[in-house]
Amino acid sequence: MSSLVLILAVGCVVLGVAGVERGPNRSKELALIAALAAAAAGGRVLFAFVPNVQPVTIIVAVTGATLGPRAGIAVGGSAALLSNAFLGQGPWTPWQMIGWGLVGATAGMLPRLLRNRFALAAFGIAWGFLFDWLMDVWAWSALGQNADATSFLAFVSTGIPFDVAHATGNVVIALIAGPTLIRMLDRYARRLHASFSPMEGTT
Amino acid sequence: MAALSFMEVRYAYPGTSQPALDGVTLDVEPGELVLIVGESGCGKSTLLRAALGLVPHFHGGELAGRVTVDGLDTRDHRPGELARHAGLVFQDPEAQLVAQRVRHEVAFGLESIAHPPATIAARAQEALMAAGASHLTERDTGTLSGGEGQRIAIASVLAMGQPLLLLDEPTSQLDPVAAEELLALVTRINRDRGVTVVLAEHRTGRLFAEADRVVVMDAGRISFDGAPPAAARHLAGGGRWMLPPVAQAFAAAGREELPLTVRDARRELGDVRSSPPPLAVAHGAAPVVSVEKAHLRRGDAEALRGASAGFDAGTVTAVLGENGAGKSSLALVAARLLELDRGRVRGSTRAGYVSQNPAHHLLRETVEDEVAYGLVRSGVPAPERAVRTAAELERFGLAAFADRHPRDLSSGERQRLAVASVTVMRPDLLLLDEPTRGMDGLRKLALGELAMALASEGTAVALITHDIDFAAEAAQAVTTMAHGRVLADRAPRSELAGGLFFSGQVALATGHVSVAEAADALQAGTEATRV
Amino acid sequence: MKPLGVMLVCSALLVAAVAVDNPILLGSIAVCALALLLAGPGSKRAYLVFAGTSALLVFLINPFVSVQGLTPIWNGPHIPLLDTEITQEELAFGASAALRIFASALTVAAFVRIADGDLVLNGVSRVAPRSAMIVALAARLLPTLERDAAGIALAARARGATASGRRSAADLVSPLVSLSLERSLGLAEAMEARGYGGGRRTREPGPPADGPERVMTASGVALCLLTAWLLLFGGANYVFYDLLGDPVTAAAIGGSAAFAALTAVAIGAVRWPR
Ligand SMILES: Nc1ncnc2c1ncn2[C@@H]1O[C@H](COP(=O)(O)OP(=O)(O)OP(=O)(O)O)[C@@H](O)[C@H]1O
Ligand SMILES: Nc1ncnc2c1ncn2[C@@H]1O[C@H](COP(=O)(O)OP(=O)(O)OP(=O)(O)O)[C@@H](O)[C@H]1O
Ligand SMILES: [Mg+2]
Ligand SMILES: [Mg+2]
Repeated sequence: MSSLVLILAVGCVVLGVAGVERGPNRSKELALIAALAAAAAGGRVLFAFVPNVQPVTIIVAVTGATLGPRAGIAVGGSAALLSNAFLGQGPWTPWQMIGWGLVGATAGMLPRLLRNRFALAAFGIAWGFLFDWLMDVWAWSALGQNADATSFLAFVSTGIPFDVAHATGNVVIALIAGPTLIRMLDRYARRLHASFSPMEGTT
Repeated sequence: MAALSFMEVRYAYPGTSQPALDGVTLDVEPGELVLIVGESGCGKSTLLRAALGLVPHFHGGELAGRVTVDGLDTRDHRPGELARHAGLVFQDPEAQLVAQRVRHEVAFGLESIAHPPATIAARAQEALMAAGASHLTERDTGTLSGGEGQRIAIASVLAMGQPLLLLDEPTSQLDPVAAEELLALVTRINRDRGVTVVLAEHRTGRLFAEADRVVVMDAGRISFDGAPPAAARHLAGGGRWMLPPVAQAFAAAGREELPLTVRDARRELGDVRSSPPPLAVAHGAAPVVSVEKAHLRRGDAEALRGASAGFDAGTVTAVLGENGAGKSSLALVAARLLELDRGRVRGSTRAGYVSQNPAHHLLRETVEDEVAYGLVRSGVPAPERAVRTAAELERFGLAAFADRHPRDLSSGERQRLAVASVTVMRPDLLLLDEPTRGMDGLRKLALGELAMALASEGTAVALITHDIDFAAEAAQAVTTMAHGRVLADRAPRSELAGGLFFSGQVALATGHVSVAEAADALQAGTEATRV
Repeated sequence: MKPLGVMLVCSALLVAAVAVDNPILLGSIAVCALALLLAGPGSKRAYLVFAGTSALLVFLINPFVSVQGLTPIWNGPHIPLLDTEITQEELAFGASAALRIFASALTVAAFVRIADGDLVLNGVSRVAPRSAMIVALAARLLPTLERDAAGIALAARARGATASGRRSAADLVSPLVSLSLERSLGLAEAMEARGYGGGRRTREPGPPADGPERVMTASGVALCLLTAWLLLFGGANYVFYDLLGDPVTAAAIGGSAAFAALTAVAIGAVRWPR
């Protein structure tokens, strides 16, 4: 069981990386994704002592919705990797990369819907729980032959207070900052593609 | 063949109608050192970007005319190729370092232009030595001081071996010592290695005299292009603030001859040797806020080690000291934004702090919201809030921008907005942390006047600055810091004429502190008397 | 240290920790992982705390969710969904699951502490250049944006926002992102100014491996072989249910000794003065 889960996790990360590799290799895109990941990770580290305010989920969701699933996956994955360089790297790192990568990917499939701030908040609630459950998979898989639905429920139920706090944090950020973030990134997405033309009225 | 040549270049950024370059023609010969000066927003950075093809390839927009680097037309060659022929150093060291380790930073450019792998390390090390930074090889770029960061940026360009070095305000974020060192490095590279240098700068103090040519820009055009003395005569009328401070004083006094360096000025005035002025310390009654024997740790550093200082009502106090001396820490403590480990802070709790990086102040989506934010947070009722916000916008000349996004403002306007967002709270003490970074001379004068106006209304104003020439113009008292201690608390401004590094150019040359005082003395024909 | 040897050592230990069942082997792997981590540089407290609490959680949960084992030692009240009959076998199984978690967490931590992050990234950039570049740039920007985040929080506080609280924190998110967008443009421009995007890139090869690094690689290869042998030939097997098996087998004793010896060699390579 644990071996299977380990292989699955590594496979997901490799898949995500492969997806990112097939994207464009222009400095603006790379720097933009890097900067958003750094902002998300920096926010996560800074807010680590504000109980359960996790800016990562909403920043990743907004990135996915505005810049597409690939950018969402890249920002989510690297934000997890980077912030854990401060908060502690471990076997949970691939899980967080997968979790936030999935947040970005799913957001990238719902670009219209997430422009509504309440939809974004609902998305934040859903992922607040899903994300934390995904984190439990790793510890749960260590139970080997005992890893079944009952034991998974046991893990999940010990984490419910944290899940609720995480989801509330997401809602607060989505409602307060969501629309601004979307507008900002939309405006920015348009600037990514610079093209020049000869000026009129001259040779 | 010219190293760099502009032929009737016109360029507009995407979505703008006003061209940023409007008919620029310029030839830079190999080996020249060219200084570009001009008001903020006149197109200096745009010109340098165009020289590397970043304009138009990176920024987009509309381009007319021809720019060639080493004979290569920038329309047909992208920056990736042009980078083999020219290198650009930007204003902010923090914004342009790409790698984590210094060694990799210097190798980055070589790797990008597909330099043979076997010799990358050797070239990188050699470039670091040439830039006087080989001791930094193994450091993390995040831990470098501003001056060190700029040296690494220059080393990264040198490593690629380009014959043309472009620098966009390379010293605007540095303290005076680091700025001096960096400019010395640039002139050395130009003289000893024959690298062609084109440099844009607001604080022209030392470089003006050293340049082969000075190019003056105005609203996207080149309004003058010639040798430094001729440029000085050209600027003496309308663009006096672009001159080095000594020359400003002579120009203001209406003198014909315009010395560009302290040495020339002294020669002009006869043998004036300033003797150290007496040390008179004139403290005001009770300071508005006083910090007593403050000790503060920040991270691994002892930011304050027993600093004591006060800030008097109705006075503009300049706080001077090298990078890391603890100036910002002192201000944060005085504004009660940081808790002291030991010592105490007395006096008013209504202090306003404008941080070193104005970008940190921009929290809202419109200029009006930005100014109102503090009032909202402190629970001022809506009607009063509207009145106070409107008044503050009016006073800072921002009323026309009320609905704009703060990030769409020019740097000077942003700075004013940051100050307005704090003064609207009517603080008893206003602390401005490095307000003149990247500002042109004209805007500095305006800021100095603003500080004095606020002081005359009874506010205590503290200007934390590296710009000694600015302090000389705007401050009434001077507090100096080093290594977390206060060396002199509210010394009279005449101190600025006596120190070594903490003396402006005008003071060194004439013994008077500010341009206006020196000009008066020169005009009266009185030989510069010492203060 | 160059990542190759460290990676071999740590992946052998990780795979062993995840796949081995024999409690004696698991225990020795956990000790090896702990010793290796402690030999590395830097602070390790966070890792130990995290690995310890995860292990404890698993240990505590197992007896209540499993309904196996024939040797009951305690029988609690009836609670739906939970199995409150605790057996000796369940405790033993929980303890080994906890060891598994503990050992695998510490192995990853040891890799992070011992391998040079820059070189890891350099290695990744051979196969995944874009991802490596993104992570490198983000790592480079992180301290800057952290400082920005702190600066924004301070500036907001200077204007009357409270220090903590969700609303205030949420207020800071969009200025932070907005600043990061600006920073990204500057960085991209600086990259292009240095020739990025001009076509083919080369890579600085870095210095060749030194003595300790070669020793590390050798011990890593040996550990991989050892793990493979234990897993393939059944030396790592063990039954918990319905009755605990006998953990003391020749393979377990020999395997544990070999793990300890090879890890000691690796630790020697880490601590060797260079
Ligand atoms: N990325 C951009 N998009 C749109 N307009 C721009 C951009 N960068 C600069 N501009 C505009 O182009 C003009 C020239 O700007 P530029 O940055 O070249 O001035 P500058 O002389 O370097 O000023 P400073 O001394 O403040 O650095 C200004 O009006 C500015 O607002
Ligand atoms: N947030 C921080 N974390 C850790 N150390 C810090 C922090 N801020 C400042 N320091 C350290 O505290 C010391 C004093 O810093 P401070 O910013 O007060 O100096 P300063 O005189 O304002 O310098 P500068 O001219 O560079 O702004 C320095 O050694 C600096 O490295
Ligand atoms: Mg500029
Ligand atoms: Mg400072």
